[in-house]
Amino acid sequence: MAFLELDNLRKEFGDLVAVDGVSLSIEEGQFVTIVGPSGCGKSTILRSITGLETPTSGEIRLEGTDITELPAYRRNIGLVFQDYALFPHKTVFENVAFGLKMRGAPKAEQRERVEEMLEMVNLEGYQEKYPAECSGGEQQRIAVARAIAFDPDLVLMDEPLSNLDKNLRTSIRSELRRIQDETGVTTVYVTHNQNEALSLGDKLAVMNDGHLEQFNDPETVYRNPQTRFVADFLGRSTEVRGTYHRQNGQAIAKLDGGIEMQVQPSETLADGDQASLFLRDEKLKLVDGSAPTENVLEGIIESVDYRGRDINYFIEVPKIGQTVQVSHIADHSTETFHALGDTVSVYIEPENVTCLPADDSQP
Amino acid sequence: MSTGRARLPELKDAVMENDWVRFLVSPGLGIGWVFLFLFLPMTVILVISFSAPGDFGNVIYEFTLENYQRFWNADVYKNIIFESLVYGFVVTLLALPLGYTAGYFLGRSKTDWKWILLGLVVLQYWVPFIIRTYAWIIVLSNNGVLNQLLLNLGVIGSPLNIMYTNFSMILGLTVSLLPFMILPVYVSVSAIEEDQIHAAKTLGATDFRAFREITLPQSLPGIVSGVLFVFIISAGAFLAPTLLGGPNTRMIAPVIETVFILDFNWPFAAALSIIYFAIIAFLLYLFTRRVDLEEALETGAT
Repeated sequence: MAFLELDNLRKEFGDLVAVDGVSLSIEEGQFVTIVGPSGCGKSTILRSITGLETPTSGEIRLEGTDITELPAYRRNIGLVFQDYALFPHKTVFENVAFGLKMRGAPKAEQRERVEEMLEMVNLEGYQEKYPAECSGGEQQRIAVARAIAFDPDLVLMDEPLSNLDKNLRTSIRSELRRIQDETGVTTVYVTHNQNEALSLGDKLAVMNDGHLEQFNDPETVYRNPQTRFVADFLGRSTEVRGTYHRQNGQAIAKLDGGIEMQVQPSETLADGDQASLFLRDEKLKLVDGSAPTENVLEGIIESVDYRGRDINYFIEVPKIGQTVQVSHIADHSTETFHALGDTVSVYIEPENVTCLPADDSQP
Repeated sequence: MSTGRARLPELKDAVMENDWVRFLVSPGLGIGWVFLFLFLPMTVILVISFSAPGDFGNVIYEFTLENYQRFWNADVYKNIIFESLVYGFVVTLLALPLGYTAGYFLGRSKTDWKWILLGLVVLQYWVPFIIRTYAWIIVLSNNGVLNQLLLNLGVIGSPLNIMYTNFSMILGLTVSLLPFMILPVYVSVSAIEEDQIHAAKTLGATDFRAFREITLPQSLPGIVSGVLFVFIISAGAFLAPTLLGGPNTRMIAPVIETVFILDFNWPFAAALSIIYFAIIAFLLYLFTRRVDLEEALETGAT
């Protein structure tokens, strides 16, 4: 039995279907990220788990108990809000202690626990300050401390880093992961940022338009996207159209431009099906004439973006009618860089070409 | 048209750069305006209150404490001021829960009708106070709307005598001063982010505790300004006691008017005004010290 189960969750706002039949199982102690573009329903799921929204249909179970109709204040679930929602008229101590106070914890216990929490988020001695006297990053950590202090069964985070600047985001991201490791509290983290999604979670759920597209560990989701949306949303890739074939135990695709490519075998595609191929940009390599002959695309350098540490080539491949981006670390001692207009060969390994059923609505 | 639009910023600059305009809006002159329109009349009243009344309503500018001694020696004026403050207190006590409830729901509500409802709150101020007061007479008098309704329904056998009593005056004052309670409460409640209340609930607060811990403390500035408005205006009410009150209703503002206009005793009327002003100022000082006004306003603003 999973720790937290969403069973066919559905939420409508008038005519709008925000969440359309999502089922998800989360194990105890896991750090799960839900990623998707804005409006995909991820925040609605979070609010349904906390009890701030009541789902239209479906069930939410925590340790096997149906909590779908339970009011928020009886759930014992912590939530970190996107804008923190700290209480401006209360001190940091009163903010962090709020959950304990509501549970009738004695003052001494509150003091001890708040001190412990503030130590964990590196804000020792902040008890008597007011939120307005703290920086954005500090407020963010106070919000985390407040959501964990009362020892909840589950902590939910709704885009907690989106209001911070880029440098702070990276450092607090690793701090959040450390806090989760230290406390071991089951965490569900919602974001639209794919870097956060890939780096933070033990498990990654990708959502689009109210649907759950894929749910697995981040590496599997990244390497083997199950839907066109996931392939397109995570990382950068070039989409090419073709037909899928199985020949001599090998999976190949015949591209519309007339070339054949070896691809990653697909479970959903049958011989002769229309397929979309996703070539991961970072897996594309420049090769010289002596290298493999399979899976090589001929192209012309369209522009060069030299960035010191690495170099980006934009290569127009006439056979597929698209420009691909190849970047690699610039080796200044041995390499002679390609110039505009050079003809080059680009190679990609078959396992880095994902084949998915083509979407007929696309041209 | 296009040239006119292009010249608008220039025009604005020219106005702002103009020495006369800058002089007229300078802070020093601002203090001058306050002095001219507020302190100067008060000073005149203060001077008159220490002068003696002449035989034909004129003021004899000789320093005397006579007016203050007269106040001190007669209980009647002390009682009237005390009663005025009691009426103000009662009206405030009635307006607070009514106005807070309305302001709270307007502040929290997400209905599209909110602006219309807020408009209705202030709608009565489109009608002059004296006409609104007369409207109460039509409603509350012995053959007024309310009594006719109750008679026709058979609830009462003979008309209730509610007009020209303390009750009708307090009712009229409370209703007409409600917007002064509703609006500041509305402003302070609507400034509270809804997520704060959500946060309190996820942390284990029931609706009531979330209200007590989060909404109520942060709407305190609204309560304070509402209470100040309603109390000061109702304790110093003039038209309501005159038109709605009964023979036993005694309030300070109509009494001062009588001394000014009928007795023609400007110095004594001025002394009563100064004494009343001093008492109100002292009460406000006590009140604001007690609620720590500045702190309440500060936390409300962040």
